Amino acid sequence: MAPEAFKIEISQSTISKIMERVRAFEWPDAPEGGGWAYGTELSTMKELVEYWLHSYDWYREQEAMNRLPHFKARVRDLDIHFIHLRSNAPKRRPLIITHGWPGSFVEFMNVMEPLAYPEKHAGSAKDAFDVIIPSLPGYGFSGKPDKPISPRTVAGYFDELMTKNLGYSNYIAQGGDWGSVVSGWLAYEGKGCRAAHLNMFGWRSPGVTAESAEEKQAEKHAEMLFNLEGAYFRQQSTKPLTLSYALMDSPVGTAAWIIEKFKGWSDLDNGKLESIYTKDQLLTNVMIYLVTRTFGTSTWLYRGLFEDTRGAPVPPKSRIEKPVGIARFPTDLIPFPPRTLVERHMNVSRWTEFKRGGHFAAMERPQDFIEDVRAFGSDLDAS
Amino acid sequence: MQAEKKPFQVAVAQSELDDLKSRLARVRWPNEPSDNEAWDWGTNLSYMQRLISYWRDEFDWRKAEMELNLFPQFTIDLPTIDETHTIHFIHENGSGRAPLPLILTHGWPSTYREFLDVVEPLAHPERFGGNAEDGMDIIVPSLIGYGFSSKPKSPVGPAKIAELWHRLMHDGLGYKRYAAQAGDWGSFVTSRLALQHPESVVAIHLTMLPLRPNLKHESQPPVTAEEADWIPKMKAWWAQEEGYRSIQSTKPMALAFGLMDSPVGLAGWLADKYWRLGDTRKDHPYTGMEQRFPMHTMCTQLSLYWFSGTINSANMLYKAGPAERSALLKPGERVTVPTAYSDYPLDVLPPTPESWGRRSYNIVRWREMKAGGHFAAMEEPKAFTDDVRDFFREIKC
Repeated sequence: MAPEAFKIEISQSTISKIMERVRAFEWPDAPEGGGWAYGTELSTMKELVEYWLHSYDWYREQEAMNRLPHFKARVRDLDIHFIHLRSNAPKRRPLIITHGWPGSFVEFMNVMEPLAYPEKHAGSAKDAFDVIIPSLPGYGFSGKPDKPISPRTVAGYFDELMTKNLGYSNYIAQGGDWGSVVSGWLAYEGKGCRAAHLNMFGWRSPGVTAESAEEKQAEKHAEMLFNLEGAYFRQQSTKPLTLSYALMDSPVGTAAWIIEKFKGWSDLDNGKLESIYTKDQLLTNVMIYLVTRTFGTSTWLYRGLFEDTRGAPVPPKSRIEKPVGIARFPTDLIPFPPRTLVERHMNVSRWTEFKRGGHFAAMERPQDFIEDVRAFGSDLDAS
Repeated sequence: MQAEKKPFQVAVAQSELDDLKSRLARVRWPNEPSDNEAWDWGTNLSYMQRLISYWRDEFDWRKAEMELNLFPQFTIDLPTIDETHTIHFIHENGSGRAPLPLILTHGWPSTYREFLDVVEPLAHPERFGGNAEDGMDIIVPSLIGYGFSSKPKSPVGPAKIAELWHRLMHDGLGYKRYAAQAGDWGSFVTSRLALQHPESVVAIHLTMLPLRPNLKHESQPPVTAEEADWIPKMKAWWAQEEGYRSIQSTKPMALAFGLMDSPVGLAGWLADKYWRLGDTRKDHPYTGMEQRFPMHTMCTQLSLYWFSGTINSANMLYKAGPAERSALLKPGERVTVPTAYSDYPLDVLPPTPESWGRRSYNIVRWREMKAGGHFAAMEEPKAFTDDVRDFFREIKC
């Protein structure tokens, strides 16, 4: 079915109800001098809530989001929401960018137009992409599945969106976080996908093991990071609903749970969130979860992960053979190990290492992100 | 300076009750996966909706308060080099000529309410067809950071809590010799109490054996076949169940904002554990659960967390416990105090092999119970009382 134009229109009463709860929030105790060592820092939350109550304006943000062309398309049993920017170039170069958790299309606000209209953003018209930015099922303005589905199933929806609803036969899939897993699946088996550009090591096939000392070292480092950071994953991948009662009911609770990830997974100056993010960016990303009531369903992917492939995100010993561009940002939650190991998982045709940047690359390092995606597109055109 | 106990009564202000009601009334429910009858994806939604509507419309907190206030309660201030802790406790003097003092310690996600149904039978057996001479002085404290005990400035672990318990019993209440009983986190505290004060602790009775031997040390006998079978079972169990523990032990403050703001969230987080760890039959989303943990009891437990505002400080025990490293025994270290272990069959953790228990404890009695789960004193108060009373009678003789 043809996509229908969509506008974000959140009622005043929905916003008021959220803000009432934010206003009524009573602060928990925190261990003295604990900072971020125990999770979300109390003083950061106080500052954020102060801004949320007195300076943040949802409708200003909504208007900015609505300047972009949003659509919804029926794919199988779900409405999939997406932004669709058609380039001015004669040649169609489709690029589907998939967000992850706890992100949203908001992550790509500063990169989508430069990628679609490079001629207006210090680039060359030949680099223009048709940019499609969907919301994952169960996230934002997309429909909610009845029960958890896997990244592979999500990739099935997105391939159908691209090929059937939008008629693109030769697209590039880009993603970090869940987006990197979904994009990996698109490159692995998507009918219309020609290549993937990944900024997280999400496609990790069991049975492909570290060999060199350097690879083993990287694996150890990743394991250590996961032990420190992985509790949210353990909860969300086992008993997502147990957590959802609190976070669906408490806007500040949702913000605290999400902001902690932006703090933990980003490359910040002196650990300061505001060195990279504006409060508007952080809050609008949180608000997307709140106004759509999707915190609960957003966590389902972590359980859905285990539904298809029995405990592994990807099938054993399966390599992506289509070309893959890797953008390695050093402070990611799951940083890429040495190229030699990545190459056993996928056909790496481009490898770029950045000195700064983390998990939310498009927000943290928009220019690096744009240039790398553009360069990958040129590589593909030349090959 | 001798610490003195001060009388304490539970009294929650009406404004707090009103605030709770209004929060419960404006709940925003999550979506539930379509196949969650067995709570496979987490706390069941139909159970939660019944629980929250009961808590909002039918629960009588004043009745619960009265039930709690039937027992003499006190607080005592115990200064340490870091800060002064205030410990809240029930203190019921037992019948008979020489009642043995017994301190019972609850765990997470429980409160001192867990032992409410066993205080009187243990203190006054003659009122329940027993012998007054078996009566015990019953002391039921609230853990630090739980219920009406104080919240510590930074998390306090079981070894430190054990020191406070000893000061409460020995200095505060003047007991030179006393006994202790517990499960869950209470069993960590009680095990540490036995390790740290064998001169005062007569015997302990546990429903969980938390101390771990250092298997690499030469004093340890080789791992038995039964133990070799059990260790991976425990690991597999934890892999499914460790979400809450993992969050609470690494980033409790990421969770605290939601749980402190939402009584429904608090209920969702805690009810999951009662379902899994109690004998709730699990063949229906709520029938067995409500039989095992009647709504009034559940709402009393939840209200104690909510009104005292302690879910965050309670969760912090998972941060303090591992940090203290007090569960792993040093080479040669072992609980020498006589220890009874009672295994409740429907506590879903894989049953501990006796040989494993004997590595760390001087086990003098090992008993398999017929029914009940993790919250033994709430689930099977009669069997629990008889079992505990029998053991300490033997010890006294």
